[in-house]
Amino acid sequence: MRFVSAITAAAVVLAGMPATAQDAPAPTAATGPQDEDERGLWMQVEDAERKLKASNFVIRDPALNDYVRSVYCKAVGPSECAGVRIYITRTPFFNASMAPNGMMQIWSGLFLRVRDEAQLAAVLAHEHTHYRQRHSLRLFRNIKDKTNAAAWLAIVPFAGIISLGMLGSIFSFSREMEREADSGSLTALSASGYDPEAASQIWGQMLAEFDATAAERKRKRRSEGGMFATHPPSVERQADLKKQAAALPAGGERRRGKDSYRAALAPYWADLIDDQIKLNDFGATDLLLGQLASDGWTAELLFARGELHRARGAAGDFDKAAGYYADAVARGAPVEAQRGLGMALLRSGKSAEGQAALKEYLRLRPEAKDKAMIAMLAGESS
Amino acid sequence: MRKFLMIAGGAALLAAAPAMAGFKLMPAGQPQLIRKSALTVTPGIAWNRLGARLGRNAEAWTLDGNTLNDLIFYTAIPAGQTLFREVDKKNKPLPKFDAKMLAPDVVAMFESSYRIANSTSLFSVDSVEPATFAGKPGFRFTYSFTIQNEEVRRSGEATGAIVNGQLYMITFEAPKIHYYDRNIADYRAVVASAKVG
Amino acid sequence: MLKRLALGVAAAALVTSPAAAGPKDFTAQGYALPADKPVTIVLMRPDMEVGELQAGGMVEPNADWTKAAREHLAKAMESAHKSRNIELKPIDESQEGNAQLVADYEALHRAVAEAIVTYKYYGAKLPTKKDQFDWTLGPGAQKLGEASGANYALFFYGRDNFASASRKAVQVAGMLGCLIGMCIITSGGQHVYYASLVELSTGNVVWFNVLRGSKGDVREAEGAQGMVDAIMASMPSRPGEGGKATTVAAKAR
Repeated sequence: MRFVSAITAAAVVLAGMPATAQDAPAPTAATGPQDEDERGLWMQVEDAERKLKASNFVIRDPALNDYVRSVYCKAVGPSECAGVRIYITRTPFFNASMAPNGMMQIWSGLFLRVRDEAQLAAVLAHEHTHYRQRHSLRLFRNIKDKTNAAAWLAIVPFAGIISLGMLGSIFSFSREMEREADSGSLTALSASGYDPEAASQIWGQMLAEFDATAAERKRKRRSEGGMFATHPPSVERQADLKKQAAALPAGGERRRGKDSYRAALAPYWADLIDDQIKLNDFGATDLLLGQLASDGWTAELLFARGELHRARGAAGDFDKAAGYYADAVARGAPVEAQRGLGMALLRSGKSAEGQAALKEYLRLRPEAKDKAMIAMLAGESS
Repeated sequence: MRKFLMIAGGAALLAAAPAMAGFKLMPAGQPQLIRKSALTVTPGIAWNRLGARLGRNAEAWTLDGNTLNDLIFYTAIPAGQTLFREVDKKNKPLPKFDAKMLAPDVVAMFESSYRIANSTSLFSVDSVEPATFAGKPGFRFTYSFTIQNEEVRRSGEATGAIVNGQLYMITFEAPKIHYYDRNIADYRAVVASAKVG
Repeated sequence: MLKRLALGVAAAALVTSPAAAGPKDFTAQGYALPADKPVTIVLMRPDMEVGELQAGGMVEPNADWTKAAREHLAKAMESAHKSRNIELKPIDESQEGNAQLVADYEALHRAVAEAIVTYKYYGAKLPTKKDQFDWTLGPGAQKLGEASGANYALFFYGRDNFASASRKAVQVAGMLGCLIGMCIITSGGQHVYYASLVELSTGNVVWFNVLRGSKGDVREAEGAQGMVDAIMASMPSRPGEGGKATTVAAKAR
């Protein structure tokens, strides 16, 4: 459920911001909700925001929050981003959403799935368009017509879980909305100096990830249901976005911001990757690590790859994992690589070497939480 | 695990009261055979055993209700089986037990199972150490987690061993505020009474 | 949300259960308010939503109704406490640490209330609690007392869902079905409330009351007052006072 809502809401296209002015501007904190439907929606999101404020899941790290806000403001302009509250939550899937009262929610899994600042800007600008165009209200009204507003809860990430079956028909409207957003969109990104190619790339990456998950689980990628029922086929959409981006006038700045993105996210990679590995989704995780390693395998990524194989534990995985850990150690990997190396070697029957690695881990990390257990496995008497 | 219990509870409630799986009294001092397996425990205080099954090889006891204290027995889990019933096998498959697992591997499987079943990333393992379980060399670990939108911070402790290639484990978890500290000793007494075979 | 949903389900089950509507309360055994100190209460933010029950059984929250009900209930609570000479103490959530403290105890209380509703009112009974009512938030709840200056906390929860026109149609159809031997009785609106009084020095839930069925339209002042009066009628409120007539209920059930 969570994942479905992740991909539907993620709908990664950028959006033409206030470019299309046929709709009234979004009600803001200043103007407030206009009619009964809007008031209903606002009440729910305001309650949700109050809860979010005290939630254990919100990542409050100022550096990360400042960075995300700076990219958002660059993409949509300082006057547009003012007053919007951003909440980054510790949820390892791809999603961003924006409520009609100006509350933006970003799931931590998004950061593993965008490659650079331009792609992050693409997602944020897309959500901003939904907000400015009052799409959530239109969606809300549509849902109300078709079923009733409780179903709305099923599609906003901060709300509950209701039946999935309804989503298809509800989202055929949202599909129109996405298309509409697509068509007027790319100009906004290009106006802010980001490379508009970024939008189509995110689709390509997501598509590849779904394929990887399906292949590892020996299933077909779902051709209906989930995002594919509710959004234009993303291959087609990706191509559309690419074509439209190419048709934009040449010249001007085409920033990618890869280095700045990597630098800003560097302190969080380890945790983000750890959350992803523990999802037991080998195919997608392996692909994501490969994407992250597009410029070469760093010690951290090799360590993560070792962890991934060791967690799966299929035939040959422990040998492979030991190899990755060893490479990681050679490149100055985190101390935990010694632990992984030791565990992988023990599982592949190389006891002496495994115990040596575990001893090395304890020497480097004497305060380890699993110290007592690792010491026993390392053959230490204490 | 928590999610599973709750969904079962919710569904049962919806279906109407009389159909709901009941609880059975587990009186103090009386040995109890867990799920007709080889695992026997003798509680020091009275508990309530949930009638609904968590999975082929698991059962739950509680004192005040499963939102407040969860004592869970995993008994004789064979290789290739998940810790508890799959929540969404197709889209969110749970990791499977392997008889060759070492204690840290069991901990990792437990952590991953909880993260997946409860859709949370707020799960941490706080300690792992060797322990004796039912007279066999085993392990003990502590953990904490929070479920999104529920926001109750919980602590847990698990003790177990792999015996004849099968996993036996008893866990206890409760809200960090008051409930965990109040009954952790009762949990440890249950663990100390465990016999396998 | 999972928990909240479950509670919603428990609450929904409450209203659809065949048992008679009306209040049903529990007081901790032998509990009486201490005679030697005044009763002061911190009123936790009422968890109150009003909506429309659709044909499919789904609830559509209605902001205008909810807003009206929240305001009327707040006033009704105030006057109910005033008439009992209970001083209501606010908690300043803008103070360092208070918001987190309140959030933590609201979360814990939701879990406790869910257990009470499930195991004392509707679901399977817990054999170890057969003749007992001894739920608690633990003595740490005293921190709420320190933050507010109150010696009790009152938690209030309400879901008041009025039947929509389509829902009423389903109801009629269901009853017509009875004539031909296939009978689905759909309840009309749903009106579920609970109130929970916690002694902050111990954290114990000393009084808990569930009210099913309507005591008036909470979207209006008079109805809200009726609801509050009905649910609070049995609440011990004066120093030295124990549970009201229904105190023995814990034993009877």
